[in-house]
Amino acid sequence: MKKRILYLVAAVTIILGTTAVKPAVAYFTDTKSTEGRFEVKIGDGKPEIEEDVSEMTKRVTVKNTGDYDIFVRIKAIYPSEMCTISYIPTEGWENRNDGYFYYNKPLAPGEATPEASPLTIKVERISGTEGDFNVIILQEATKVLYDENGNQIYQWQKSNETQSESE
Amino acid sequence: MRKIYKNPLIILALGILIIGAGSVTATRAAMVAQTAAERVNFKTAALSVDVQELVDSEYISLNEDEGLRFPEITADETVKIGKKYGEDVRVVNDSNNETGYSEYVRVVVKKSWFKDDKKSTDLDPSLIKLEIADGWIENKAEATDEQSVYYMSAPLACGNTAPFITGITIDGKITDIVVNTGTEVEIKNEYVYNGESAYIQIKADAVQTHNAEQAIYAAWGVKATCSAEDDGNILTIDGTSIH
Repeated sequence: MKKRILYLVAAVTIILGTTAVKPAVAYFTDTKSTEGRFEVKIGDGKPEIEEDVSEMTKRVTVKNTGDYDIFVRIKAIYPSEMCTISYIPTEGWENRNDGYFYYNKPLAPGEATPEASPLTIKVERISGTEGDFNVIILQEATKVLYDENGNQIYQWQKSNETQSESE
Repeated sequence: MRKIYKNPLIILALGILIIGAGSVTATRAAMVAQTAAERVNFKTAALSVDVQELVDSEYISLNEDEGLRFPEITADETVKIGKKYGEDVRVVNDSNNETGYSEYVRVVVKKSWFKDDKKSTDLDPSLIKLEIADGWIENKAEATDEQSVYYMSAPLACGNTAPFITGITIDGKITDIVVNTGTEVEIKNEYVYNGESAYIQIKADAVQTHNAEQAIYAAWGVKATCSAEDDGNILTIDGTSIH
């Protein structure tokens, strides 16, 4: 009887020993981790107008007083029943016939359009009219964006523009 | 039997004999181990993976202390929004040449925005765009807004390299996300992403190519099927084809 019990205990011990302890399997692995970050700065450059008015002609330059590169464009608002305006071409400025005059290069912070070639707008009163009138210069700026190849682009249709005006 | 019980001296003598014999054996074993001529040196196989970035025409190894430098981006005074910057990050099987082990490699990429060392969880990581080299397949099943997991279907042979990141772009959409402030005369925009830092983490995992499916499951926790038991190509990960 005692022998039977001993055999039984031995058998159970062997079975537990071989099944409960699973073989340890290890695989070769390796891991390498790294990280990095860079800051993104976005903002509107702030244009500032300087006007020189003489003999019914406005000569306009624009300076970027902000911290980011910008494109600028200018619009003249005037009472069409009192006067007409005409654009005198100067280097760097373009009339795209959409009511705006565009400076064709971006302005870096602190940079201004050349004084030597200001946007020149000649104002003429319509004969027979009387009274004072204002010609308002409206300026808009949009930040310089880039295409995939790093070329500078602008998107005037976006609302992120800065406007100011001068009479 | 009864006699032994009755004489404790016999039990004591047996005990001393056993302890003595055990001690002598241990001493002998120690002496053998100290014999230089009989010492056996075991050398474990080294399987290793490295992540490298091209900086100043030279690849440098990256790790947790030596982070990504983004040389083309930092060369610009400010990041040009929308421009695709060249970036060269590669994965290298720098395992021990003597063993010459190939390895399966996957790369886990995490992207997010940080400001003042705090994660900006409300900003969109997908606006940080990475251009991934050919040969890597993304497992969309493991992807989240922040995380992408890329697999190489073929084993990376010992000493070989695999280009991983080839370009980085900050999506121009970030300029659309503004809060308008200002006056009637002047419209001013506060850009939500202004001053944020684009954060990129790369983790390359390598595992042996022997006993491939079991090894991948054990190491990465994903069920893979491979074209061969050893050194084959990975065909699927969790049922998704990646070749």
